[in-house]
Amino acid sequence: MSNGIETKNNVEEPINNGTEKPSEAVNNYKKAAKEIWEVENAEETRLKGRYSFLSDGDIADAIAPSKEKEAQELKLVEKEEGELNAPYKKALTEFGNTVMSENGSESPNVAMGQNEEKIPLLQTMWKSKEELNADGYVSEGSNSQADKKRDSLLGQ
Amino acid sequence: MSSNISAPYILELIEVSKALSPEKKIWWKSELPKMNDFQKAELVKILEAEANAIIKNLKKKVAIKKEYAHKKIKALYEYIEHKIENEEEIELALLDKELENV
Repeated sequence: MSNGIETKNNVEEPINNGTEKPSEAVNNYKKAAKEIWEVENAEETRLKGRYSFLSDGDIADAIAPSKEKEAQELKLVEKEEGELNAPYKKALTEFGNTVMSENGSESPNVAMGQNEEKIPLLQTMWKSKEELNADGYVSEGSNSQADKKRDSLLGQ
Repeated sequence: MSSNISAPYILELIEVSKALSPEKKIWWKSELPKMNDFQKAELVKILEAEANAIIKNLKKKVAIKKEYAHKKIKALYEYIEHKIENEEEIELALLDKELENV
């Protein structure tokens, strides 16, 4: 099955070069971001101690333009991140559906005890497939979860 | 096919994923024992691509934070320098005034 997503070829560096676990790579970058913030704060504190005239307001004023630009750039990256999620979400949903039908598994919502299709159970039990088709619950020729649920409840 | 499709590796990739909701993560984990090698390889392919994108993005964020931490501290040094110059000027002006009164 092709999901249109290429691995490893479309990124600058492969995940962790085969030596680092994905979670380690993510944690290392998070750690690096925290360390940068700590160094920055420590330097501000050091300068405040050294120059008694330096108030919190002075520091805020001095760094405000850079802070604003930084926030703008980070916002852009976060926006990109949100857009990046979409193809993976789609690919995982599509592949999840394939796995479900191939392995005969329940959908995540059904497995989590939620009524994904919002079809009253009794209705699906007592209505015929034709009636459900007419109600728009089941598309023609489909082997939907509603079908499976009803069939399993009716012992078919 | 990915050479690395061990269960712990797939679980790791599922954990890192941002495209999967917590419920879907639980579902994929519970589905794993039923999946064949081809399905596992396909899942790894998608999740590895996503993990790469996540890491690439984090790398970008860290680079921005590093760049601006430097810029902010530089701006602070310039501010201090300017303030010291001003203070020196004020002190000199006061001295001049005192000297004028002598």
